[in-house]
Amino acid sequence: MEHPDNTPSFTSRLERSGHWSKDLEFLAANMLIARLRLVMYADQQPATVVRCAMELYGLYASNSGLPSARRDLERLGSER
Amino acid sequence: MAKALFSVAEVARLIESGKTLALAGDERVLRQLPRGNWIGGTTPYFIGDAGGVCSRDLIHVTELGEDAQAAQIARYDARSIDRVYIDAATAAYSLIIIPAQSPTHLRFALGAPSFERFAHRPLIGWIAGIHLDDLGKVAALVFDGRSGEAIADGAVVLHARLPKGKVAELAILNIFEMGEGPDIKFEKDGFEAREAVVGGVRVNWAKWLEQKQADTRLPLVADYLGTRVNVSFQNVDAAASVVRFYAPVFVGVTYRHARPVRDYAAQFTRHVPADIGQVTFSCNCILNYLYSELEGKRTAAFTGPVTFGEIAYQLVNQTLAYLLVNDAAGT
Repeated sequence: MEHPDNTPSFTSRLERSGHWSKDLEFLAANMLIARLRLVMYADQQPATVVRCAMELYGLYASNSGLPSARRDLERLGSER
Repeated sequence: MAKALFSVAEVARLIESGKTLALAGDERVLRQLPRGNWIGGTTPYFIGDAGGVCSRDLIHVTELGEDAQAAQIARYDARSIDRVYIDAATAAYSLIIIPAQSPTHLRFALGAPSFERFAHRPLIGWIAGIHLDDLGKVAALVFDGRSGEAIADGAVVLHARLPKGKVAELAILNIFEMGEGPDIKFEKDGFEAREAVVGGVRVNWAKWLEQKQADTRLPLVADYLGTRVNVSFQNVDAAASVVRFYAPVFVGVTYRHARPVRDYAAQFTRHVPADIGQVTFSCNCILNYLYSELEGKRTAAFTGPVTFGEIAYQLVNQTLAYLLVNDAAGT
């Protein structure tokens, strides 16, 4: 499985997450992003966004065998 | 449908044969079981093979033997529960039980999404409860079958592995949808709220709910990027100006009161995905059982404990949580 090339895809996604279309299937990602949005709202430093993106990337990397996560990754990859 | 509810004698035989089990039952029957490779939690409410049932004599059995190559039992308390996802890292999935209203319950509910390695592996489970006739008289318990010990504050977890080529995936089935009412936001995380920002206006929320004659059998629903996550009302105390919940509300999350649901069991069946695969474990909420009068009614192919909270990575309410074990893609 090809991952989106490291964190930039996730960084871009998180930066747009206020307007994120409802297209993620992986339940855990939706729950994590709900928290990460609050973290980024409280601290809008670029480094915070990157740290959050890495956290999201790590979640997908750990779960890349799950069908719902794989479908999300394929969609993220196709959007690069 | 496979048998889900067993007598004490039948469960004792399963334990003595070396099975790895996750059990749900009344305190009295769980205390009678022999030591072995099992965890348990208290509830006398179940969805059995014949539908919803309340029994102080039967035990719901989830047998991990067919799916799990090996399962390790672990215990946590309010100080160590933040390690649960770290310890789960080498498991295929983990099944957790926590007693209602314990410090560990509160710590997990408020903190889980911030725990290190949150959701890096599926964590499913439930909040142990009691018979509603016993509210205020006895405490919910969990059991560590290795010692037979009953625990009023802590969590018991089965970290399970799977054979190569198998994968576990956690899902929820929530038939509640956001209603047409105003957005509701909170300014503090917690299991209770005195004020809420309703439609952009800060209000005494208990009084607001009372004035609107809101049906608090229906949960608050938050939209997590398309996934609906519920928080249930425990009570509304207008005199004390406080609203209490069965799961915490969080700052920055937008909630709405749910739209009414007619005939939960029928709606539920309509929402079950086709070709769902092998359900290894599921649990449903005591409030769905009560408000939707599930006694004697089946909820598709799902059986399991009826609980005081469901854990699908984090604590949710009025939701069916379930775990599927299927072939990994490409195998």
